[in-house]
Amino acid sequence: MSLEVQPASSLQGRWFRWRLDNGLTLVVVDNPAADIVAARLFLRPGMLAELPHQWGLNHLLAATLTKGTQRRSAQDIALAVESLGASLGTEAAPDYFVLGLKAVTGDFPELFELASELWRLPTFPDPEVALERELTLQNLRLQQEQPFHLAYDQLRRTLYPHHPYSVSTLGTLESVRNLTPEDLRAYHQRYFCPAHTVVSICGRVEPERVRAWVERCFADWSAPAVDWQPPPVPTPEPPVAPLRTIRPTQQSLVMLGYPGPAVHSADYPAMKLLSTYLGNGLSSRLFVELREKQGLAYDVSAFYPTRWQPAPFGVYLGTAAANTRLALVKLAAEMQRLLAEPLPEAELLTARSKLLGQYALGKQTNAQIAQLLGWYEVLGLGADYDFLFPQLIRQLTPEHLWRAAQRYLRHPWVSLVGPATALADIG
Amino acid sequence: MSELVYPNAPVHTITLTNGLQVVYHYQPTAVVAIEFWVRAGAAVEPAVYNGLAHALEHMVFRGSEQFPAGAFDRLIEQHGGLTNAATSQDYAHYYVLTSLDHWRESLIALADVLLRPNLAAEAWEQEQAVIAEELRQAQDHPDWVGQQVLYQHCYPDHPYGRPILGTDETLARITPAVLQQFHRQYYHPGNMVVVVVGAVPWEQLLAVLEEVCPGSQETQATTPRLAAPPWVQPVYRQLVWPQAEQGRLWWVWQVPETQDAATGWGLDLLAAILTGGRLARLTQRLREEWGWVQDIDACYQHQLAGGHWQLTAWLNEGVCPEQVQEVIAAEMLALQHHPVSPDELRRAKRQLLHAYTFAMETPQQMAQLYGYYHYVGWLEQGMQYRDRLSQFDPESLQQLACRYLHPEQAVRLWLQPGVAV
Repeated sequence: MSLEVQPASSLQGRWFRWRLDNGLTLVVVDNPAADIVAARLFLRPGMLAELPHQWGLNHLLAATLTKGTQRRSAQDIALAVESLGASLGTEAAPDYFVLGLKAVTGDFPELFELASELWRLPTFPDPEVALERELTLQNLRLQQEQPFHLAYDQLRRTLYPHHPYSVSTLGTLESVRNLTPEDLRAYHQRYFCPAHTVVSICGRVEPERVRAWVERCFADWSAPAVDWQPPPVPTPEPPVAPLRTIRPTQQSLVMLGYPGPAVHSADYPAMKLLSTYLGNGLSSRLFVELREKQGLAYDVSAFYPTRWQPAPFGVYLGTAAANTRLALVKLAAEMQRLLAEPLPEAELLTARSKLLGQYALGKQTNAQIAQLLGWYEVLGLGADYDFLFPQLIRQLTPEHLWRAAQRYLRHPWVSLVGPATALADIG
Repeated sequence: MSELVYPNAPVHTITLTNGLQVVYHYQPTAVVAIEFWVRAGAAVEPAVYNGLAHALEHMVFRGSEQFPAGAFDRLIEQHGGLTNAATSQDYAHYYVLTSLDHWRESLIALADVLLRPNLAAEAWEQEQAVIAEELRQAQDHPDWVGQQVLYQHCYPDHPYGRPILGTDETLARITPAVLQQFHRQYYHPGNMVVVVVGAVPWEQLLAVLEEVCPGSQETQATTPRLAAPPWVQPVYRQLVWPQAEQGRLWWVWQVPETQDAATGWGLDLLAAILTGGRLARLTQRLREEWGWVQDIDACYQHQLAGGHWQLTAWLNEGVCPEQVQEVIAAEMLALQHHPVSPDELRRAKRQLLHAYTFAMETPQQMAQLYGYYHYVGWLEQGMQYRDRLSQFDPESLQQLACRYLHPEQAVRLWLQPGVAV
């Protein structure tokens, strides 16, 4: 067993990391601020392990993991959680699968023991899988109501053909219909192993005691590490015509998307800062130019998720159908501006303070801290990336951002959703 | 100054000579939460200018003489802070989250734009376009559309029945002079509450507040009490909405004005028993056993002149709303005819108590809770939350259900997905 103790960084208190003998990684943060303990159990590699005919498997796994183990029924599990007044939830993500729990400190050991049982011994009962599969199909239809979702969906389908990043974590109607309880059991048996598991715990706890809890639940778990390769990342050319989905909506959704870098890329911090500069907050460039000055939108923003493999970068706004073309021209002009010349130093400094300040604000609750450190571990960056990331951001100059923009933001994928009349004349 | 022990540190409340009410909680964190609650919600706006309160909330962010357009947003965000606002029927609520180093300038700036906004014609013209987009965006969401129809039916001939965003027609009538008048009437210290949670020294806070909010209480009028909404007959409406992919069913009951916080907490317990978790009665039947709904949710929404208790179900394709309604009606009747089991009640209480603990983890969460409770007059009762909640027994919940949630008294709406054209 190895132990590392980190010097105090921006996180309150200190964090500890152990690797158990079976390969499981444990991160613990002692944060005495509230009488609450939050934990996250992560499993890599999430959707990246799904083949096209299985898309949505991790989501269905998430929906049914809490619905039966070799020792307890769905009812027993719900009773255990709800009797404690605790919260326990599961979620599939592109790069990981996660089980999250939160309890008042006194209840935590009991809840964690239940979580470990769910992690190790789920049974995926047939009727529960059938129920959750139907609800997932319904959820996929419900997603079609949201213009943002439609625009983002057609964008990622063309950015990542045949790759798991091309679809939402729910999967597709076709793939979900074919998922069976056997698929879930086989996936669980293959991927759930100590070497792929990261446990991250934050709260009013003594780290050594937490380690003892975790060892009691997991030290006797042995399963071979799986041999797994990430899927190849496609490199498509931008389509010649805009992507369009016709919907009888009041607003059009206008989106420009680009293939951006992965979190491991040296360009990741620069692209994170560009995304903040463009779309984060009331003082962001797009908000000021397109909303405040031109009144083209209520919602205008940017996205660039943190991903193990190259992530989509995008900007978008919702605008009156009659303004579709104008909004597209203005949005494209803002992106061109980033390519023309480096940003003024003052604009970069404002964006930098905003990003760093909000990064710190995003670590207020125990659940947020457990999520962030565990996520960094699962991405292979290590929990100390929490310390490194602000340093990387502080080193960026206008030239760095300019070069990154040149590299990634030259050719947009245009994605439009709106009424036929609004989209007809945009070619 | 009065001091309330709430729940692990004192919360101080005081009214300054200028009329401003202050709620303060010292919390040794690196983050400071500052909130202003203004008694200027949509319900006090004239009907012809529906949307005015929300419009003014937008215009506050257009700045003041001292903090012209964009300066306020930049000041807060360049130090890594956050700011935003929301308007409800009863109040407008503004907040800033900032680091301890910047609490003073953030508070000064927020108070200045609130008390002395520019409200210039050009800025209003631009903001009108933004609000028009907000309205369009809302109209593209079936949940919002259904909720508006429901409010019309629940609160006929009452301000609570009007949309907070206003309509295209009423927004077009609003001029800078109308905004000025509304601002003069309601945005003064005597009509506001400020909440501060963080490691801010009390004396320094008072000094800043006295400086940025001058004035004396005597010259200021506070917002008048709103009349209670008229009692409505139960009704069942149907709405075909082609853009919806999923049907939604709402059951809503009016809850008359109450000064007793415990009534609200009892109604929260009933909501938890019906939909709070997988074992809750309606979730168990409708989602887990029969797979008829994607989700079902109950909640009590408190409002000053009278709130409502609402059930919302998102129905799966092909499920007939009548079969779901039968189940709902049966469960609502059961609550009136039989006391809930001790185990169910224990779970519901524990769930709410822990949700309360979870909801007090950050200065922002605390400030919002104190601000809201102070606003509705429940701050003192709120300190007794744990004790009061534990006093509920099956019989008292049964009485609440009988009094407020009779299935035949509900206002119901079925929003049906249309055939795509």
